[in-house]
Amino acid sequence: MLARLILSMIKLDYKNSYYHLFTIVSEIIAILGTLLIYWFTSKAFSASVDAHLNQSYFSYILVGDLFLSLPLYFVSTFVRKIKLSVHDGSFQLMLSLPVSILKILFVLGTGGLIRDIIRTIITLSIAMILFDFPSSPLNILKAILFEIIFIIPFVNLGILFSLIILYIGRGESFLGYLNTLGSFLAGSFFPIAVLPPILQNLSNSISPLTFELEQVRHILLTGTYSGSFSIFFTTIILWSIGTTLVTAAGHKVLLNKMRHSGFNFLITY
Amino acid sequence: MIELKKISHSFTDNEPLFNEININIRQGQHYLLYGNNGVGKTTLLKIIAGLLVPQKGQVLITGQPPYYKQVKKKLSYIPSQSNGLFPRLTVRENISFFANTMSLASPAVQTKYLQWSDIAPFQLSLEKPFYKCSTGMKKLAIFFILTLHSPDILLIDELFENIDQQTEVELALLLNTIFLNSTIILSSHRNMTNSLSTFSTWNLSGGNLVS
Repeated sequence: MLARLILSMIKLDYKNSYYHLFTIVSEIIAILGTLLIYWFTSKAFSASVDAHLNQSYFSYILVGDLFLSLPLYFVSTFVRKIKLSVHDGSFQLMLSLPVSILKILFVLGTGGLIRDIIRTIITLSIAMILFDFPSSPLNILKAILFEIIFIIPFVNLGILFSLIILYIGRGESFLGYLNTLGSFLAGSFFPIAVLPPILQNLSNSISPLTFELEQVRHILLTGTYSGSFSIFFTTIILWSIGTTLVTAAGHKVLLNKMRHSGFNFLITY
Repeated sequence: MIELKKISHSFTDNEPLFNEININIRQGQHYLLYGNNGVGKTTLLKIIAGLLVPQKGQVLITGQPPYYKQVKKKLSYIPSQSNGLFPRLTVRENISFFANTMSLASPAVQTKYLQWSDIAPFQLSLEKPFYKCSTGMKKLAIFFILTLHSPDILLIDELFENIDQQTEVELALLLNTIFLNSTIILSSHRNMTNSLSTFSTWNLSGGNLVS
């Protein structure tokens, strides 16, 4: 049943995104364009940052960009999809189904993630073939598997943010700031070693994205996680449990408030 | 089966929409709820469906609040909207998507298709992208999807708006055959007792229900 639902979500997203051959061609051009930008950026700046890195600057920023976009999907695209579904009426229609609101949010919001994962795999494969990206197909699959496991906290956050925005009716710009802060602290385009010590501490202690990028870079290069297994495993479990508890509590409160307002959503452009 | 106990609700402080409505509905009873715009037909249906908590009073369906998981599975609230399905998917693809969302098995969905085989506009719409369907076809597709799980209780808001006379007759027949044993409350602007001869009528006016 779950496999059929995921296939339906992929089909829906494919039909919405690639309704014309031109959209597929432009997707491929965009991937090649991105790779070229990172290639020339790394040529221009690698001399100044190489001392802080244990890999080429090209692979550093490529992985930083690609693998940051997957968890941050839930802080931006996911919420935007839920907003769109309120505008086109599909959210209200799905409220009539005998399924939980959490499942509705997941189904409506997550379709695009599968496309993003496929795009990430294609981009890394092209980078490996044409740009000497130092990884292997097996390591790419391992990194994607880690990403899927570590995405649970971000699914939770996406659902929580969506419920808050559905209830308040606005707040997307706040999520934009959160997105920027997350990208900054995670060191997606620069090594966090160049940050002042206080920001480095913040980056390591409050941002799950820093842990995620460090692990994924290590997995892509070596095929295994960085540091001890217990810390690796405990970090994933703690973030997952913590965000699940917060989301469950937020879901209960917000759902109760929405029932009192008759699920009338006012989301403006 | 459905109990409304002293339901009162208002959207403004000095204008109550309903005033202590009490209803007891048994399994299999069919009601047509009619009244002018703004008298609260949709609000009352939403309250029964558990999508709106009334300011006073209580709704119980088989002894439980309507938003309980077990109760939600038994009922279907069909809103009056003609949008909400995915526009680039065909009606059949939309049906498949929603059936998968509800974890319904294929044989159950095929049985539903057979039950609806006489509704010509629905059959014509199946291979069309949803955005190319007429308003009537869209409402039929939505009705089909929201009753896929074979609910015992149907709360239908303005189903017969934008539907031609022939389809109205076929839909009325459908309600009186496939959904004969379901409890139905159907709202409308007009008294449609000609098409819905088995339905008892309620007129919602001035905050009161009159049989």
